[in-house]
Amino acid sequence: MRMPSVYLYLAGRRRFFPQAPGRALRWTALMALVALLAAGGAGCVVEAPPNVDWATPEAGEVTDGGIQPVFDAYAAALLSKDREAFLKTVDEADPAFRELQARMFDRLKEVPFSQYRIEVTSQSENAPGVVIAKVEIAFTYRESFTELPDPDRAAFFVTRRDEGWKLSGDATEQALGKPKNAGLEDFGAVRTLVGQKVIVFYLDSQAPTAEQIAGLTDAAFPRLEAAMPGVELPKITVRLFDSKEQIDRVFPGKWTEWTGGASRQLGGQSDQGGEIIVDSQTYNDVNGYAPDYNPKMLAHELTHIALFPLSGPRTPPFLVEGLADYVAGDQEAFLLEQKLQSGEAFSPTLRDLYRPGSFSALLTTEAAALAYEQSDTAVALLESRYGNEKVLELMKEFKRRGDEEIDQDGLVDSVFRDVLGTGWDGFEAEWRRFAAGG
Amino acid sequence: MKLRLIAVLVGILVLAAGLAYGLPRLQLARADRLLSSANAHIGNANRILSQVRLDEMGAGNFTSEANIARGAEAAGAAPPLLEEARQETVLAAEDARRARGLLLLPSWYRDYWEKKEEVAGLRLEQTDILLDKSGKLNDLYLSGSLVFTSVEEMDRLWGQFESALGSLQGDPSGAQASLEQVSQSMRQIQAQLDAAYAEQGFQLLKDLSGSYSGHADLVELYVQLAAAVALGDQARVQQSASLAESRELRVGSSRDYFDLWWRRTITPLEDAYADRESRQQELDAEAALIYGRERPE
Repeated sequence: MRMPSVYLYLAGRRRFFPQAPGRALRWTALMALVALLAAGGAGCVVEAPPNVDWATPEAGEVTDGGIQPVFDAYAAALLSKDREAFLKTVDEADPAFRELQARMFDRLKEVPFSQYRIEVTSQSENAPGVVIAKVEIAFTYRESFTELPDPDRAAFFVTRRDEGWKLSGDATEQALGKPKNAGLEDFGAVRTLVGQKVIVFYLDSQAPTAEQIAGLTDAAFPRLEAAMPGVELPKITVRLFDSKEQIDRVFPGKWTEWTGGASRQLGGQSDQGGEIIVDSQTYNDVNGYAPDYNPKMLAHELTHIALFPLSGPRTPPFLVEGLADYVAGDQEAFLLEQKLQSGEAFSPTLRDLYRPGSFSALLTTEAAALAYEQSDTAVALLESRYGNEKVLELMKEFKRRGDEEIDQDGLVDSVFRDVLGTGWDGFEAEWRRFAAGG
Repeated sequence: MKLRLIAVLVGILVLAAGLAYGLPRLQLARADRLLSSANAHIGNANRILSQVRLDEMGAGNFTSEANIARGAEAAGAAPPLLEEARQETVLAAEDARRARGLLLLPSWYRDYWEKKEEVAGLRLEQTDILLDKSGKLNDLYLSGSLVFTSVEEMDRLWGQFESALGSLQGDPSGAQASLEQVSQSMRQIQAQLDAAYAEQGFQLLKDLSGSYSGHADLVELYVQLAAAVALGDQARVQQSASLAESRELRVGSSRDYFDLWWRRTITPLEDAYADRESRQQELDAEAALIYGRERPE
């Protein structure tokens, strides 16, 4: 018997119907079978597959060959004062370097670091298993400025040992073209004296000087706050060295004309702040013959630190130095008065002193004296004629407009005109009369 | 006749009932098979992708000659692997598209497939991003050694410059000689960078050359300053100091140029990659929730 094909019947086409009742039954049975097979087959499904995440698996961490962790451990140990952990990061194969590192750690035990960061910026292979790692080092102190300062740069030899990478030597001169700058700890154990507004770091023999400096710097704050209403500062740090020679080792070439103290900006952001550097030899010598000098010097440097957030790269240096001397109460100008009254030409002029870098190019004592006297008298005039708010407004405006595509002459004239209502020529003429005693 | 009609009707009813019951289950079975297939393709894509050494192509690895060499190798090896992974992802996406086309699937399963299809689409975009990134890094690595050594050398020369400045007042003639040497070295490296740029046309080489030129100009201003200090000419010293100070404000570090190049060229790709990764994870979590609710283990 011919087996019929299976059709889905959608229309009443009679030719697909079997002619006999038996065929109808067979068709019905066939369709039922198909339905049953469909139902049954569908019932025989395999076990449901699991849900699987399709997201791209995360990539591995960037590695630096394991160098950074050893510096992280080194810094963490300095912060937590853990000598054992600190020495674990230093290679045992070089006893001299290890001894230096241990000594450095012991000398910094009292220093109240709040952050200590050493970041690897590059590395290069020096020998099999030895790399030179260039690093940036920055730290902050408790109760002082909170932002890490602009980092100091150094370089170290780092050697791979079985237990991991270890610091094995100083590579600064080789990698960075100059020796690593020294720190106060290179000269002895660093002691800490915390005042109301100041933290003094000093060496053992300088305790009495440190106490004096803390007292005088604390005492300078009221004058600072009067000249700069609203000024807010955390505790200022003072680093007290034994001598100018020590300062030159820490800051080579930075201060050639030394007046016993200096301020140093720690970075461009206001929360990076600054510090005061003093050498006790000059400080104590000067105390002997000019006892008024040191209080003024400290007030001057303190003012610089307060002015750092207000000063930009094109702020006239005479404004900054003049204001610092104004707070210090230093306004004598005998040499300048004499020069102006006699009509003789002199250098630098006040116009020179509104250019960036002018105070770092003073070749002679007379040039330096004239520079400060001009600055002092200019700011004294501004304070008396226009008031401290206008002086601060000048500072802020120079900072705000520091990126303008305009030469310094144009910028100074424009800012003076906008803030004081008089351009540079008018101010300079007024200042000449004022400074000459007129 | 009547019997025939009844028989046909019964048959149709039974068939309809059978198909109404069976077809959805058949489609469910089909969807499950497609899911198994798609999962397998995704697994293959993951396996291939794990061979792409992404961790060796980061900015943090441009820190030594050895790392740069590894990065160059990784960037060179990446494209064929990425193409292969891409193909597997395309197949998974096709499975998803077919599954979504099964009209009798329960709505939860259709929602599930919709999310999975979107994940597959995002993965394809990511693969394209990685292909773009490895292409750009290949350009960098072609000049990698020169870029790295010129940045390192600038560090060393700048240190020598600072040392020379330190002796400017005490020994201006000595400082002048040191500064002249520094300037000469900078000009030599500038020339190397110019030559490499002329050959390869890689913009970063030009930027670094510009940086070296700017630094050399600055050093040469300080040479003039040192000469003025040696002569004791205050007026000329003031002028030179002012010029040098103004110039110094405009000089950027060589490392800055590298960082800028990376930020402009690679970082947007890395950000786009990360955005897609995070969206994929969200979609996967949503899909898993749906699936777990309807098909508890």
